[in-house]
Amino acid sequence: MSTDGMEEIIKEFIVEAKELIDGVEQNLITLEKNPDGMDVLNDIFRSVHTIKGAAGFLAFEEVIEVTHSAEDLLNELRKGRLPVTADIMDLLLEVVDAIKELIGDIEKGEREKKHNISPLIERLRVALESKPVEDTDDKKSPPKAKVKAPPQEAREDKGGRETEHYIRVDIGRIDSVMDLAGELVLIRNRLTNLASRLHEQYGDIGVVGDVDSAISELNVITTDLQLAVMKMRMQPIEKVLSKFPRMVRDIARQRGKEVELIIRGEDTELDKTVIEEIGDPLVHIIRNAIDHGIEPSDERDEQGKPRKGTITITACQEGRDILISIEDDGRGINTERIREKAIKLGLVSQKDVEKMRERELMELIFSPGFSTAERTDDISGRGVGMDVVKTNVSRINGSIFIDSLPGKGTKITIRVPLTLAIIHTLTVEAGGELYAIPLTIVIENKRIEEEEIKTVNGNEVINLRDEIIRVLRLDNLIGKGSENRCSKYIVVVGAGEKRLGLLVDRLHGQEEIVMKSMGDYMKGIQGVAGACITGSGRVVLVLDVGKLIWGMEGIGVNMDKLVV
Amino acid sequence: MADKGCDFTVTVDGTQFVTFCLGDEEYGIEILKVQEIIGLSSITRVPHLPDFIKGVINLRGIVVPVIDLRARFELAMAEYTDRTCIIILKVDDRIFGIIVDTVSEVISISQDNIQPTPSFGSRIRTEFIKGMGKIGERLVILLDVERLLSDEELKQLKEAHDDTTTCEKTDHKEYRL
Repeated sequence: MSTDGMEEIIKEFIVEAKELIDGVEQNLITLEKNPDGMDVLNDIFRSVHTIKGAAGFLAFEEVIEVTHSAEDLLNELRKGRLPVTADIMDLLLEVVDAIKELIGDIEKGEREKKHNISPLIERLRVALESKPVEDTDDKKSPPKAKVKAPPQEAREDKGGRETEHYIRVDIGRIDSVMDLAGELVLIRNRLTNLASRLHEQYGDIGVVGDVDSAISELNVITTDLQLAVMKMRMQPIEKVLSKFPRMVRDIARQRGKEVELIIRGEDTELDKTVIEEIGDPLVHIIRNAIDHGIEPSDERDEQGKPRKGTITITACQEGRDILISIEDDGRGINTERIREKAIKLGLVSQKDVEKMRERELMELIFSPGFSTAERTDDISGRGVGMDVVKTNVSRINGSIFIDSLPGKGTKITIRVPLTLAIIHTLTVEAGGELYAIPLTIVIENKRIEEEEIKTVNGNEVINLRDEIIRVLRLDNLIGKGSENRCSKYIVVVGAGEKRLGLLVDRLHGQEEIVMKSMGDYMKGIQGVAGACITGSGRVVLVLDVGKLIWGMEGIGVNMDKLVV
Repeated sequence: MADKGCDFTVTVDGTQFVTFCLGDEEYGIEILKVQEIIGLSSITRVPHLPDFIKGVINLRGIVVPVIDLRARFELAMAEYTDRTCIIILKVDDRIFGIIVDTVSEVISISQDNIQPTPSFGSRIRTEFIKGMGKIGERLVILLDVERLLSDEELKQLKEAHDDTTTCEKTDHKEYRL
């Protein structure tokens, strides 16, 4: 019991410390921009002190040492005895990183692991003692007017505001509430069904009407409940964006460029799962913008642009989607270079390239392989791993667009769904089973006759407007073919450039579904992304078409080998 | 979080078991591992899984895999009847169901009456058996539920399957041979 209690406390410490240290990081960046921000400085001091206190209680010696030294330095800054310089900021940011690492290791359970923190402590000490420059007149003239900060009492009000309005809830609990809300919907459906049977039998008399109105009330409430639970999973996108000021600062300093980051709409809310996935692509894009987009200050001067480059990240909601745009005022994308490169890499032919519009050309930078050739030289525009960005974004059912004006800048817009929990699907029937296919990847549906399916090289294909498309009989997935072999439907699906025709018996229509995990046992089944529960209470599998296509490619390879 | 995978926690008056039948043999499962017992509901089949996993069901909004215990024990299959039940088990926070012919009762068996697994003479693989319970003249086979859907086995099956899926899709029947 006692060890359990301890674990609980440590867990809490980790969560709290992480939150605080993130706050410190953001505040440090703010402080650097505005070195006189006494409130910010106090805030930083308080957070570091809180971490030290908690670590002291739990006897995490290394954390205590680092925070203690940092606290000393911060105190000097607070009292105005040391100026806020970029070097000191670098040092403090290093402290932040060190604490993050220490906490990370504690979280991983490597509590005993020794870290070499003494160099950092030493440097903090040196920084602390570097003040003698002002030290001589320190005693006589109180430096500047900064000293107005009340040093001690500031600590007292820590956290009070937050505890009142927020509670930390395990995501599993919210999910189970969501499951139950879903169940409620099913029961409502059944009741509606029963009510209409009551109507048939007894007509519209007394009680039957009352039942009706009760059910319609239930209807409204269950819908609201589902929405409310969905909202519980929403988090402001700030959670991701808040990491960027630090990142932009570091990269810009490394590259010797001047970059200002403006963030708008950070309170836009997104589902937790989307938040988790959107970070990496954004990092990539921003890194590209600094690396390739923003010119060095001198070059900007020559072009009559302000010396400092600007990157603007904007997030906003549009219907059921969230739009995130990353805009820079750098040199833009040189389509001429893309054209050359694309031909050189054999992505498109000379003839095609001439016909392509600017926009289409820019799309080319998302092609796999385009990046690698670009990586060695920084002369032209973007291209570093943009295919990875695109893959990541499409994994969360999002899409990505580029706008660019040479010399003026580039704007990359990412459109992602508000939530991954609800997806729009096409429900189909094959071999007596229902399957759901995410609508985002469905290209078209077509009625076909069995004779239209040809066999080429052992593979079944159809000819769709002169395009040869491989066919997968969905009923074979389960291993039970259906007897009815006359007219069927083909659902053409696509992932990237790849196309695949799924042969099904019947189309059931569109449905909004809530994705459910299949649990640990069933994780990673080829071709199945998850499951959902329909209005009638049945479990329906959601197909992972990317994997299905991949599986088909596998056959292709085998076939080739056989032929050789 | 109260139920920590207890290993036959024997109280003074013995351990309680839920007993059920497959054919004419009687089996028992520790009651603490049983979450509930439900009637047979519609099962959705899932591709690329071993035959003994019949598919998944909807248990109040949770997708739960279901094992046919006859198939698992490689016994002759029987028609599902209205007495066929799904016993929902909870092992280490994982939930799965087993399909059995009929559920009989809840009984207490004291530790004295539980004997080690005989190394032969059983119709099912001994690895699934934790012991034999004696109640008067009756013998109840006590199952080790952890082994029914073990990670390693499932992983092996999956890996073995990954190698063959491609063939299976092109020519299902040939693969079966």
